[in-house]
Amino acid sequence: MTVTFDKVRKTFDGKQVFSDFSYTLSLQGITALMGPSGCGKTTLLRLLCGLESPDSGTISGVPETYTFLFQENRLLPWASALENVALVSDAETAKNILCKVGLAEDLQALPSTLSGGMQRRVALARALAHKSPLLLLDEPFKGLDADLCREMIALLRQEAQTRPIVFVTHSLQEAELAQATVINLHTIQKNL
Amino acid sequence: MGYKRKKKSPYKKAARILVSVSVWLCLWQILYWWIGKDVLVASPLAVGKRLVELLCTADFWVKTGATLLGITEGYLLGAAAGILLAAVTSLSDWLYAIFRPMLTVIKSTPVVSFIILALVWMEKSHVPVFISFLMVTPMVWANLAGGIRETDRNLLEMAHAYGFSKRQIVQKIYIPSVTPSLLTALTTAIGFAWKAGIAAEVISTPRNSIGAQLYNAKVYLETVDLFAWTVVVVLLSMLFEKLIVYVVGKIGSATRGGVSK
Repeated sequence: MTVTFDKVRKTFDGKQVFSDFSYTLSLQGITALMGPSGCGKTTLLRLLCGLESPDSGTISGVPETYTFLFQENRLLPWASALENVALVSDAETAKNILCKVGLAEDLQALPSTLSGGMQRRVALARALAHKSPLLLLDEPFKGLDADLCREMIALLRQEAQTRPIVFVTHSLQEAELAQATVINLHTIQKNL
Repeated sequence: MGYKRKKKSPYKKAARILVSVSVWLCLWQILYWWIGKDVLVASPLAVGKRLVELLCTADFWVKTGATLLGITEGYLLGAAAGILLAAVTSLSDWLYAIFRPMLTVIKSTPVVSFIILALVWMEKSHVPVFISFLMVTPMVWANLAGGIRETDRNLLEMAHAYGFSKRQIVQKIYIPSVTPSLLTALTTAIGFAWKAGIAAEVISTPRNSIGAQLYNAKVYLETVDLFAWTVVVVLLSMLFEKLIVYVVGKIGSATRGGVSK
């Protein structure tokens, strides 16, 4: 799968994030999108799936359906962990994935009763349960300790056998553990 | 050891209610002794006796039933209209701008003006229904429209990203989001529906109504009756509120659905 950005411009409140950005992103296995804060990693993911439209320029090769894990967990506060995941899959799949992310004992727990790391894993489970040709993850391991982070990366590596994954991270260690192709957005923009 | 929230005892709650009611009854009795004129303030005992007398007459049930029916009808129609208008005006800013002046006019016009107008427009038995309807509609509409507008945009974007159907968005996001503001509007509106509905009955005096009884009590200076019928209105309004809170809570949890373990 290849996504091509052609002369893409994107501005937020007068601040230009992308100016004539042209790049071909080859999506295979796991891709780690890196770069300093504010360089446009999240915007690139959002442009990639159509959650944001470019001010000008074109983006081609984007699949019609995708899965997006937002930087915030965006869980329904009134629904249990299981209900949150079952929104995008059948209950059995939701239960299995929640068990895989280590939340077998918390299926019926409301998000407000879970720790930040547990909530992140529910959000990650929801993304994994949602079947689509492309998985986009914005800082998926935020708030997870090193051991949990390793376990989640192992899950992602399994998932990458069925569909390409692009994830935003600030940690080179996470990218290396995931055996990801690293793309440094800052370097690309500098070289344009 | 973690903090454990104490379970509230139903006996303690009942005791608190009992103490509160007793305190206010005592204050009422003191006020009665202090004023010392039956025509100005009736004693709690006389009102209690009169209430028991009224409860034993068929006429009481007919009049109470008619008032309850009229105000309930107006309240339910008003709630339905408010919900419908909130849904419609949330669809577009244009529709909201078109309907908004109506909301402002209804909210700022004195209720008595509407009662007098309604007496000109319709049969007097319909006036309390119409007035209750008119009080409830803007309240439910404004609160619910506000609730819809304040629905978390992040959740809606998540729903869009995960390809939720429109039904899922309404059922899983909008309904649970707006239930608290709807519940607040519906419970606040109960008091207004009763107050305005009874005021409409007092002015329009339909034959079988609590309002007509209040009017007669005023004309014939039957203060005990005035107090007794007022107690009836307060009790009915309280029971009605409990019922609405229960029903809305049930509807909210039923429409949200769930997944079994």
